[in-house]
Amino acid sequence: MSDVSPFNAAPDPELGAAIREALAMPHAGAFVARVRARLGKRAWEDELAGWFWQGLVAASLAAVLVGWGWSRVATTATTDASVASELLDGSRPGADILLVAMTSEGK
Amino acid sequence: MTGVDEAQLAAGAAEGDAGAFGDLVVLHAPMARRVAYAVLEDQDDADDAAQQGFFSAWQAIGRYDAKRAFRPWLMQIVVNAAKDLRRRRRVRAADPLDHVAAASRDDPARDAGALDLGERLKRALATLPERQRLAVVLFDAEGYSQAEIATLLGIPEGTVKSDVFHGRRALRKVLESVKEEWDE
Repeated sequence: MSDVSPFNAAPDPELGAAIREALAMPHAGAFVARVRARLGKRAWEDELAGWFWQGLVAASLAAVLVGWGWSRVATTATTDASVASELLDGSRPGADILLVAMTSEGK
Repeated sequence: MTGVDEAQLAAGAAEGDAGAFGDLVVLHAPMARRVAYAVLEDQDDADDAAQQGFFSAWQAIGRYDAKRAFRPWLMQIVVNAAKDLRRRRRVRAADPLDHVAAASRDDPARDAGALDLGERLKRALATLPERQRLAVVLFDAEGYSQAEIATLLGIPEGTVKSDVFHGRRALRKVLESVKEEWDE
């Protein structure tokens, strides 16, 4: 023992080595391999989780875009159908003239 | 592995390099397991805690300041993981400790009988309060300064000095008695 005084502020190499030996744990390689394997697995899971959120955002954007496009198509079709039906109906003033003009243009 | 290597690995790990962190695991696993054992006094529990400590450190690596030493930062996480585990397994962990402490609180060296030095030291460590045990293990066995231990355990430096003093006294008694036996 380098210094028997417990007040010594420097580590005791002999006592330190004895403690390290006493507390040494077996299967060091297996422990490290297990931790590294789980770290690798976790990194892969983190990667997947990252992709999951990115994918979710992309899918949500795509869904919004498709919905918006679909609603535009539906609105245009409804508008076209209502103009045609009003012309054919003849209830609006001047509809007959407009209808004749349109059909004669087509001839 | 040199200090420079460790600093480089820590800097790499801080940038998310899993390989660098894996190398740090190899470097620090023995110490992390010993320190976890000093808290839990059970090898399986110590392994679980050390493992959890490494995972927690990897998850928190973004918060690690690469300009500071990696080892105390990691060991603080390992100690916390070990303490958390001990809290969860308090009933299970208390049984062997009470048994050993009751058998040898007055004089661990005398009661240890024919056990080898390692076992005698383990039994002597088991008689110490947890904080004393950790302080003496971190100081004498793992080479941390008293200031680092104070920060790591969240206690004043004077308390660390006192804990190291009392812990050493008990352990040296064991060491001396074994040496006397060897000399006879």
